Amino acid sequence: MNHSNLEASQGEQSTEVGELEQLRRLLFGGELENLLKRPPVQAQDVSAVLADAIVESQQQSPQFSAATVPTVEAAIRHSVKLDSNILSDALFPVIGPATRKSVSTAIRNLTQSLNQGLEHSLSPKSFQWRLEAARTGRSFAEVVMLRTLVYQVEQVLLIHRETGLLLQQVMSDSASAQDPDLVSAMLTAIQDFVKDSFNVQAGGSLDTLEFGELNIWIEEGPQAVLACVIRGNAPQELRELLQDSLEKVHRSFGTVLQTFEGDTDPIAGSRLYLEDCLRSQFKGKSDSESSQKQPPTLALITGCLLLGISGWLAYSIWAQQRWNDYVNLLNQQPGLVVIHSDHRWGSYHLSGLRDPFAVDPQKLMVEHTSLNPKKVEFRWSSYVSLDQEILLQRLQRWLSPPSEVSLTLGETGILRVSGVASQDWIDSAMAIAESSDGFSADIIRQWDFSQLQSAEQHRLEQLQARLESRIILFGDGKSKPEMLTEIEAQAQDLKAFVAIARRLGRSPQMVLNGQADPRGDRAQNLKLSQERAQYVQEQLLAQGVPARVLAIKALGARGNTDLLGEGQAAQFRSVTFSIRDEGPEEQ
Amino acid sequence: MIQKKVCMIGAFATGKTSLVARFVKGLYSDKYQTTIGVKIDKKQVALGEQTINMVLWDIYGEDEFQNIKMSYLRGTAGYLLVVDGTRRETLEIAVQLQAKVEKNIGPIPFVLIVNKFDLQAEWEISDEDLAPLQHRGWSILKGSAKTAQGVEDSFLQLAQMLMAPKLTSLAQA
Ligand SMILES: Nc1nc2c(ncn2[C@@H]2O[C@H](COP(=O)(O)OP(=O)(O)OP(=O)(O)O)[C@@H](O)[C@H]2O)c(=O)[nH]1
Ligand SMILES: [Mg+2]
Repeated sequence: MNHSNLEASQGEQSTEVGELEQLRRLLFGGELENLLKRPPVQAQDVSAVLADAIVESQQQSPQFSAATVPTVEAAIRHSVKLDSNILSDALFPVIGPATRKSVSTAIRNLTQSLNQGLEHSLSPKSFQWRLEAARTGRSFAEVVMLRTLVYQVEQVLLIHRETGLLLQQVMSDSASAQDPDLVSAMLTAIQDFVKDSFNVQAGGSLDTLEFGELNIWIEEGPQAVLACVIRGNAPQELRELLQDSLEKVHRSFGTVLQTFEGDTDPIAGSRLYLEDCLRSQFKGKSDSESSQKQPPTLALITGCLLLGISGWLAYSIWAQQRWNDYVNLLNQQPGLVVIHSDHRWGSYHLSGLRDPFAVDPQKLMVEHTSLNPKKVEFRWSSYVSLDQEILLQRLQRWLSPPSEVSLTLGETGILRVSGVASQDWIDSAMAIAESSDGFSADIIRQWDFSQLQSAEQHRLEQLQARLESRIILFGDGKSKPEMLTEIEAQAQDLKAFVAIARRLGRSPQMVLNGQADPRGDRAQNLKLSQERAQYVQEQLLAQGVPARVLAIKALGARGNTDLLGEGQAAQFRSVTFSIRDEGPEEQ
Repeated sequence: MIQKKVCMIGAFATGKTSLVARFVKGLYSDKYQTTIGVKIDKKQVALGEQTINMVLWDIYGEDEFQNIKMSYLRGTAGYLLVVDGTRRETLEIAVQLQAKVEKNIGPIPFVLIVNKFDLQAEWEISDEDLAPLQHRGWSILKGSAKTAQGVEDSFLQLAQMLMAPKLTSLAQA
């Protein structure tokens, strides 16, 4: 304004003359009049210059920012009072990321130390590392870190590009300190040296230095350079992160950097961006970003999973073996053919051919395996097996032989039917043998019944043997026996014998042989033997034996007197019996 | 904190490395190990209430085989021009270097130190030789890395010039 201009122009001459002159001009010059005539300042006028004025005042002194603080604070307070939603809506997009970031940083630090502690406190490696720590005098934690490290950003330097002066730096907790001032100057010197010495094209720069497992990555920006001291092999993503951080630094501090005169305080805020680059990765973690994720529970879950998988593998191998054993066992059974078998997810499927005479597969399963028959789905198609064993079973069923009969199939294909059976059964068996060629021709070439006896015949032979073995003894010169019981038994046997013989179409006779000992008169002896036979005949008749089956033979004296003692002579005072078969009965 | 890049320049074997070692660590050795490329050191100096971190670039000395590359001086706030009092030609080289720096980098503050004052008897440089330079407004000190004489003064003077560039340039004008 004119007034202040005037004041400023006069201000230098701080003499009394100056002040008087000023007063004089005010009172008598046109100034006062002008001032009074001037209309009050219009809002439009101010609005036209307001934005520029603010920018100007901010550039000239930091006081403007300070001056506006109470107003801004009051405005915010007022806004919240009116409608808190407006502000919260505006802040919403930044609050989420901000909280996430601070929480995740805190958790990252916690889990990193937890993880390492957990993972390495019990492993066999840890013992080795403890030894190494003791040997080298390093702390255990340090040894663990070095041995498990994939990469770690140990130091991040923000360097002023032109002067090589350090603007800001951050370091990881575990890194060993290097004087960052010297490092940044030296890096710049090296950069200069390379550019000078190797005639690099414009825009080209040294971006990696390697020294053993130590790497220095350098990102150059227009005003500042970001250098990263890395131990180990860092992934390429880190390079992008560096570029990103450097861009942010330039965006936030571009003007400060341009006018940099050695005062680093205004750039202190860049620390945030550098800290972002302090990444690391340890072995056993797939996360390429850093060790920030994968809490110990995940390792635990992975462990359980692995354990589960190996357990499941072992189980399924065992189950597969058990199943295979069973299928093999089935295939060994006559009359069973397994065509398809598989098992999936604990349920089993079996299909094949089964002769109805074959063993029951389910029964076999229960008796020989630990498999649960309920989990197995059987699908059998019936067929006729020509397996010997099954064939015999089938015949057995057809013939249904009595228990005394056995069937054996010899190597040469001869089926031997042996034992004792009723004639009826024998007849029917023979009939089957005649007609069985159809299904068994290849296996059974010949039937052998030679060892098979009819039960009746057998009985006849038994009875005949008993009948012929009895002997009725008489006293010296007597024509009546001392005991009658033998005769009664003979009568019973004989009646049975005759009955069976008749059924078989035969008419046997029993001959009663009367005998006397050789002592005494020959004629007398003949008579005596006649009387003895007749007596037994009468007795048998009395017991109900039909007359026509009996015949008498008087044999007279038997044996030689000179050769016999008394005991032997008694043998000849007897009636003996012999059976003769008269052939088919004539009726 | 204020940081300043400061370069040590001069002919070879004038004692640049020795001056830095004396100033930074208080050490001195008679053994000569020529500097290859650049060696960096730093020293914090207090000027009144201000602390300045001087980052010292000890650059190899100029000889017949290689000239000092101006790229090393990029961004430097000031420099120490080192002359060996026992060798006259080092003064000539210093004058040439100063001109070269002014041309390439600009009129930045510097202090000229004539080193090896302990060998004053053998000096080939007299006050008469230095007078015209002094007349041009150059700050010239005599010193010795061996005895530490004038070393701190030189660096502190330079530091002062760095902190008040306008004043210094005014004074030089
Ligand atoms: N007597 C004496 N000898 C000095 C002094 N300063 C340096 N020297 C010796 O001079 C020799 C060279 O010193 P340097 O400091 O290496 O010289 P420089 O300028 O760094 O040399 P370049 O790196 O090759 O350019 C060494 O043998 C030093 O011991 C000094 O003040 N007095
Ligand atoms: Mg040197």
